Amino acid sequence: MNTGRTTLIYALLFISALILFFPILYAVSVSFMDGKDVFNRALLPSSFSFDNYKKVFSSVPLLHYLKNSFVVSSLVTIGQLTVASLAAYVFAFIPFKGRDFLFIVVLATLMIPWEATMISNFLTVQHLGWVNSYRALTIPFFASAFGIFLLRQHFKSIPYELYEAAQIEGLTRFQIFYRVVLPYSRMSLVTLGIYSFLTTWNMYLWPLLVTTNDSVRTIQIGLKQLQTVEVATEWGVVMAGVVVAILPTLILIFISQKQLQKGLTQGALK
Amino acid sequence: MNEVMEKIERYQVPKKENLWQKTANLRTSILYLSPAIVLFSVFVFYPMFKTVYLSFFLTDARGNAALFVGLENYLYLFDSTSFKKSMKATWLFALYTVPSIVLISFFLALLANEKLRGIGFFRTIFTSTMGMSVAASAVIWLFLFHPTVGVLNTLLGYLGIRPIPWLLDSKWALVSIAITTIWMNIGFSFLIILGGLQNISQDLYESARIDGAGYFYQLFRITIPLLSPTLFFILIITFINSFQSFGQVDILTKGGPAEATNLIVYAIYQDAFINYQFGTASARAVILFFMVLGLTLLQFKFLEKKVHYQ
Amino acid sequence: MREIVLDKVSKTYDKQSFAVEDVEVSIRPGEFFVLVGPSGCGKSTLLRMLAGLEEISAGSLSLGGKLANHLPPNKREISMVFQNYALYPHLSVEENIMFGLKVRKISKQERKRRVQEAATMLGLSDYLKRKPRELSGGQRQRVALARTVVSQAPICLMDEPLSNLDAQLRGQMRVEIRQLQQQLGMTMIYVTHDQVEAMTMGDRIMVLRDGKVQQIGTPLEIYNQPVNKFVAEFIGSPPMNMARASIIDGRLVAGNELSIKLSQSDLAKIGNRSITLGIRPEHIHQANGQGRVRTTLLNVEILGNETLLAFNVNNTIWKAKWPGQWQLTAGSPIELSIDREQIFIFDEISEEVVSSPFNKDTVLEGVQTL
Repeated sequence: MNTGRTTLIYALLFISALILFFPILYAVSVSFMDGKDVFNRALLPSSFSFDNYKKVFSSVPLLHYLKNSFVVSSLVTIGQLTVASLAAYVFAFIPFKGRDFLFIVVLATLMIPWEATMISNFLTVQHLGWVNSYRALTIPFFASAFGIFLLRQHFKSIPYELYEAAQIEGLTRFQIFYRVVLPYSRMSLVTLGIYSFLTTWNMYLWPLLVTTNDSVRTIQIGLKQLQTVEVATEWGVVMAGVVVAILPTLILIFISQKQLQKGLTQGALK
Repeated sequence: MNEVMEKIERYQVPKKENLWQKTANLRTSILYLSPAIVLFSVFVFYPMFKTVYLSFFLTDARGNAALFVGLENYLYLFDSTSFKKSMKATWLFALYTVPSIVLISFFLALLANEKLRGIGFFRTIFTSTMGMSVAASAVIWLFLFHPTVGVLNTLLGYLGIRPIPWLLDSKWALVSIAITTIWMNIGFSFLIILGGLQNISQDLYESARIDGAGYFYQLFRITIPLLSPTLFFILIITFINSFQSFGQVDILTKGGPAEATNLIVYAIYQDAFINYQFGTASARAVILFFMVLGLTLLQFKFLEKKVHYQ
Repeated sequence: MREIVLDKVSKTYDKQSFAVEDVEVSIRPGEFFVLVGPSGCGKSTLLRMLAGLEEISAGSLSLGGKLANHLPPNKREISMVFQNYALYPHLSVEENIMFGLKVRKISKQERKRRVQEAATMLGLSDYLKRKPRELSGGQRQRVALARTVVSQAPICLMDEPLSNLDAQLRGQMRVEIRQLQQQLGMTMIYVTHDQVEAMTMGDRIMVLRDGKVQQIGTPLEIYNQPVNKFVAEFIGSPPMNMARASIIDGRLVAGNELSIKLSQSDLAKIGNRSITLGIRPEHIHQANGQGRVRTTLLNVEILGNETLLAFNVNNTIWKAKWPGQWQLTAGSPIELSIDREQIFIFDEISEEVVSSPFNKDTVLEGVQTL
């Protein structure tokens, strides 16, 4: 390859990466600044201290919010994987009359935006007395049409011979499910798991509606609180909160970029 | 009856099984599907019907249907300037964000698809905004846009651009939210488009190179046609996402100034949860549903066409 | 050990046509039984019905004298080797071999013992900890065989197990599978489209075409006494030469190239049917004055120990197989002789055999001339 072209591409890559990543880098930088740096619109802190972090953990129950976010995201991830893999197993392997129709019904839910149903869902959750509980934040998201679709595509790529060989060995349906199908599809389960965790962690509107106090409030709503309480004066503290909130998902993305790319594009487009 | 069935019936060895055994497949299937069926019924289908139902009623503050008003809620909306403003903002917002997201992501994916040393690092950076929550992103950009401490105007000043009243001016406010949204959405679109690019067989490029085709010839004759299903998929998804935007509005502008950024979901939220107008909020939600439905059907149509080509 | 009996077994998918029709056969314990035919002939469907993976539309299947039509696969005491081996990619070789035993709750000690035994038998001892993807095609094939060995099932079903291997390995595995079957004394039902496998491995062969049984017999019976044109062409390589022929003045004539004098009894059998002449490539020799063929050489393939000659007879390409190396030039005229005793004559319409080397009453003919 000619070097002129390579240099150009590297230049474009560096510039794009810098622009795209600037807001995140800058947020980290501000999180170490004192009020004077912020006021002077400095790009880097004049001195390095963790004061903002100490302050943010003491002024709002950030750890508590983080714990809530972890609990909610993990529960939704487990719930989605369980519900979706069971349903996908039927759609991929067990034939019965009306299966195709049911599958279309599942796909149809993709056409219904969550925001269009949130009013009634809020009324339902309120009626069930789930407001301010993990149930409200998790159970409505256990069934994901996208997850079912993604896993079914992957299950369908399992050679049918394996399913038949397992039948000859005398495995029951459930044994085939957890001893053959699930281990075989480990990678796609991981993909879906990461994706569910990310989306749940970053959920904003629904937690805003169903949490009215700190008991199960997630970190995202915590950020909103922080921003309204602290704004104007203490941007360093707000940014410290932001950095704490984005760290887990950013790390997840850094670890799993390749995996996500493979898993999601195969499911979405085949 | 044909000969085949006649023969089958004559020599068939009947299976001695009762209804219980006969329905084994169906029973296991229903058992395995039941969590999904129950959840979809309670949290997707029932609320969708309920929303349509509520949109024909005036409600009390607790969301109970109080008075049937037919299409009154819809007519009220279509007549109100506030709704028109909201719809205009919603579509304008889509226009600002969707093409930008697709083009920028496509550009980044083309760059990141080169086989160069350290390319994995750049791929990860370009994907990183997928891990950014809407709340965190909006707070960061709120700071960047800030009229006194925001660094964005300072940076633009280096390029000789005069300070922009980002969130204060009703025209710029929508642009500001659009910028935030574009930034947040690049990660996911980039990831999907890069995946699409890598699914294109390298043989095609090699044979094109043997024929002496240049970079842009390859781009327009091989890459774009073969990537078109992916690009279309991401176009529709981004479109739908733009209709669903909420958090950035809530944190950056609260729908203002002068309702200039009152996007449809924010309007639903305000109607229902600030003003307790569940009837008109539901009517808005139904309208949102049809907007998304239209886009989804468009996508299915396109996919069907693609199947015909193969 | 149990006998497998199929009686009028049929299968239809669309209720309009048969995928398998009226199969009747009984397979003896310890027999190596081969189902052979071109793709789509129903051989795999038949095997899958035996395995219980497909339902039997009509007719009965009995195993050891008991009706087995509706037995689930795992109750049939069978093992099965699939075309792509059906190895679990997430399990090691050892776990793959043991997989079925674990499900059947066989004690850990016994499992270990059987796996060791099978691994030694198949030369897999060094690979037990590896994953299937780290093995070569032949080794994967052996893992699949090992699974059959440890199951100790009296009946083994194989569905084109060698079709993914290269030619050399295929030859080697043919021998190994045959030895394994004899060593364990199990009943083998083996599906293949490759007539070489059928001929070399089977105790008996069933030839299928369009779901119907054409012929059942030992390899030599099938080769020497094919009952119809299809079987004659399908078994043997290169296949039997065929040409439309007619009777002119007591001679069998095909195009301008071939003319042979026929015996009275053959002429009587033929009567006034339209016929096809068949002759195997190894029964066409250098000209010796008998059963003359005059034609032009189209192609010569020298294979080292034998030479294949191609030429035209009545607008079809025929081949002759001569032992040794023959330096002949394509395009030159050539004269050949046909072994009159080895001629097959088929009815053009029904494709059934009319006259073959084995139903010629040569003795009777001799008596007559006396």
